Amino acid sequence: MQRHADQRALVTGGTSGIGEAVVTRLAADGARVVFTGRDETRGEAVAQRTGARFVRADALDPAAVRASVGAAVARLGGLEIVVLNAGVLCEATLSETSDEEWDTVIGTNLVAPFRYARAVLPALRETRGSMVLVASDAGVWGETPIAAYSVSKRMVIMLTRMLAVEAGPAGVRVNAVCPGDTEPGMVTMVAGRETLPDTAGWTRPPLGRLVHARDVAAAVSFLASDDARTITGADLLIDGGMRAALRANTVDAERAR
Amino acid sequence: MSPSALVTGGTGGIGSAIVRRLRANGYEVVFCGRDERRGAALERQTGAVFFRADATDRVAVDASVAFALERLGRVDLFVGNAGVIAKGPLASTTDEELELLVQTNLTSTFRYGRALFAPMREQGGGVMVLIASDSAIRGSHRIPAYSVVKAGVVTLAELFGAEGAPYGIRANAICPGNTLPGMAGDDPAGWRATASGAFATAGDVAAAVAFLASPDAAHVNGATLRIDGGTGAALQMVTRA
Repeated sequence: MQRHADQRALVTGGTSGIGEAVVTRLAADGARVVFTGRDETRGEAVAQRTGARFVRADALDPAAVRASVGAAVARLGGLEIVVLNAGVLCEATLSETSDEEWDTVIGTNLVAPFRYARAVLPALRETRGSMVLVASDAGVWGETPIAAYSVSKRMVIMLTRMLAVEAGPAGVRVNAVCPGDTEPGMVTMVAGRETLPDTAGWTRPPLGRLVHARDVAAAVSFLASDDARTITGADLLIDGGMRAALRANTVDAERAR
Repeated sequence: MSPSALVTGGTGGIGSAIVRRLRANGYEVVFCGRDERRGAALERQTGAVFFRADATDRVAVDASVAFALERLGRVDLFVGNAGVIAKGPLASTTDEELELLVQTNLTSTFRYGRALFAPMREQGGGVMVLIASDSAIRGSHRIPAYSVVKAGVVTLAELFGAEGAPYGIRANAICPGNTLPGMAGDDPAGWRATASGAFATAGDVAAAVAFLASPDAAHVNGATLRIDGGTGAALQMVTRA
């Protein structure tokens, strides 16, 4: 029997990258899936390919958040699985981050998942379902080149814990996944980036390759399943061993002041 | 030459203790806050200079930084202390409550730090001390939204510290446990003391600020210092019937 047969899922940011892989995986696991996103062309293409249903919603728009949850519950009749994946990246240190970039990152990566979580909790309480939030390895250790993003993802991890404490007595589980550099994922779709970056020279984790979006989707599928029935409030790194290999930020003695 | 400091939320319990302590340590101080009456009183008592600014008002934040740089000539120390609290479950936390937490506790701290980063870099260094909370470390289930946002404040301190390290800029976070006077005001009713059996005092927090700002802490950067009487050293489980 399929892992998520007859279950009903909502995935935010499902039109590309990790979200698209999660939609694909949950549909393959037998779930009926509604997913959100901003890009209608991509949304319809993913819907066609997976059989999932696309609902256009910008996570920054509170009315769209409410409407997309309402549409998913109406369409599916309830929800066992919610995956809060919609997010944006901003490649800047703190001192280089503009007000506009800050507001977009905090609004999309923190405030939107908060609103989604609050909106879906009643439905998940009905089914004793579970929620998975897509955080980042940058939420576990801060990364200066993507500073606002790191701040937002640290807060997503804490949001996950607080939701787990709050929803646990109702049998609802809430977990986070913390992917490292993922292809296709954030590294390949920075807003305004015309072509995919050449990742050949990037630092590789011990496993020697970047994370693939389907690796993250596999972890999400597990956490949303009964196999993980005692796991809640967790943050699961999917980083190819990167944390184990992190090097401290030292300066060569010759260059020391 | 006296060192100089800008303190936000300086009219509140912890903030006013920080202003007093820094003045006692010889700092020239500009402090911000919303309450003009309390600001004026503290100004009279300490000789620090009050600048009225609501941390959620971006124009006022920028104006207060410009005022401090103009008045003090340079800012050696920034203490990001302005903050508000919200209690209760996430499920019943309103958009407005979350927005106020994010704007006051997180975004204003980011904007102050960013505004002072370049001047500190140009002057050869500086110190930022951000007042977070013990709830930022593992979360406090009675104040979940506040815990989430304060986790972001700790990350801000780490990343300002990491980015600033090559330029002599240090940034650290202080995580007080329940403090009197502090978020609870002067009345501890309904609040829990720390594991020591006592509340942290605003003076304890101010003393930690003074240490982190001093040359004694020249190599303390990106650190998180709990001032919680041991509360976070070993944890109790949250259990519910």
